[in-house]
Amino acid sequence: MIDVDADVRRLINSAVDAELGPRRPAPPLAGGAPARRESRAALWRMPVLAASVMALLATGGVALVSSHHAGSPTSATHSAAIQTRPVTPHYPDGANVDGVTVGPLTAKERELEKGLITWGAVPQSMRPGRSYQVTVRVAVTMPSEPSKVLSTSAADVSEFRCPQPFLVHPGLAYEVSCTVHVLAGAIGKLTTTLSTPGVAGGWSYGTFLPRAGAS
Amino acid sequence: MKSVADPLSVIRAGDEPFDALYEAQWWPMVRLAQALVDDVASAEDVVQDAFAGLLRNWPRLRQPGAALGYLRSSVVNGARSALRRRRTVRRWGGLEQVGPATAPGAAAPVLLSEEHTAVRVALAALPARQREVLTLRFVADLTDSEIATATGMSAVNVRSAASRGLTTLRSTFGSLS
Repeated sequence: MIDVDADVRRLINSAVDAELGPRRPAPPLAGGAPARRESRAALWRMPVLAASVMALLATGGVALVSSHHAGSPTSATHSAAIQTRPVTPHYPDGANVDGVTVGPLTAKERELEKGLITWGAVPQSMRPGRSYQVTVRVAVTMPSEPSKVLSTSAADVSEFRCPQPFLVHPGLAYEVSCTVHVLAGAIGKLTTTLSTPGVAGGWSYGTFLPRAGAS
Repeated sequence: MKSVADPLSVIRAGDEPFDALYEAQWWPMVRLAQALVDDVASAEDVVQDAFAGLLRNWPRLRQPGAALGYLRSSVVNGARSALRRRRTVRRWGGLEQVGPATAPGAAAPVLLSEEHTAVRVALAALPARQREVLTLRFVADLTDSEIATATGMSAVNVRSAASRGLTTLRSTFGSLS
């Protein structure tokens, strides 16, 4: 018989330790108070809003440019960016994929040494039989790194529709819109993976969906 | 002898000055928050907010041991809010590496074993209160009475939630073994 109490205690503690890494000292106190850091929610609310506005403006720009340059597949802004980058075969560029919005990095993102993945807009509760739209934003900040392939996948869901794998380039942010149907009683998981073309393996970040209630 | 009229001195007379408490409890609170929200950045934000709240209420704390209870409650409440927002963010360095190594010199990836993943999923599948109770019991090593204080539940409800949660986990892990 499994000693659930002891096993869960051991496993959850070792999982937390693995996730956090070695023990770190507390950040320095500033004048007796913890240095107030801008919360992640606040950090992201405005940039994402700004990115959405930029995307809307860019979309409007594309429409205007297209009306004057029939047959032009991309906006002037995007085509200029793409022309300067080598395109790896087999994967479309994110700028040309439906369901993907490409925009500039926010000021906060540009300051980051590492890239950032944000799963957002996941509903608090989900019901089987209904479809939900979820988004993931990927800020590719590292100028020294080559272009990567971004792909998404899902586990323990009944249906998942998301754009095909596509190329992402440093210095840009990508917002991907996906649709998911959940399974009754299951906890679905969505995963974003970044890999280098032609190289096995990669980096992934997943987020769990709320447990789907009975239909 | 310190003047009782000075609220801050009452706290400091209890051998729990804020700085010492912050140094001693920051990491345990981050561990607890991480267990609850499963996201390092969110966990650190929750703990920072908890200490900021404690500092604001520091002069009003009357009992020497109240600060720690206040902190735990703040972390639990902050974790609830963070989970409600359900926004998860992680930087490259904190991503899970899949397959062979591809990025020489990259930060160490978070590699969780199947056991770790299983227990994470099993706990995540529990109703929120059961998950909180078991996390506080297993990670923070709290008694039922302390858990009741931290969660705002009655001691009876804590025992009931723990029992139901353990029954579910026993069933889950029993079926996996």
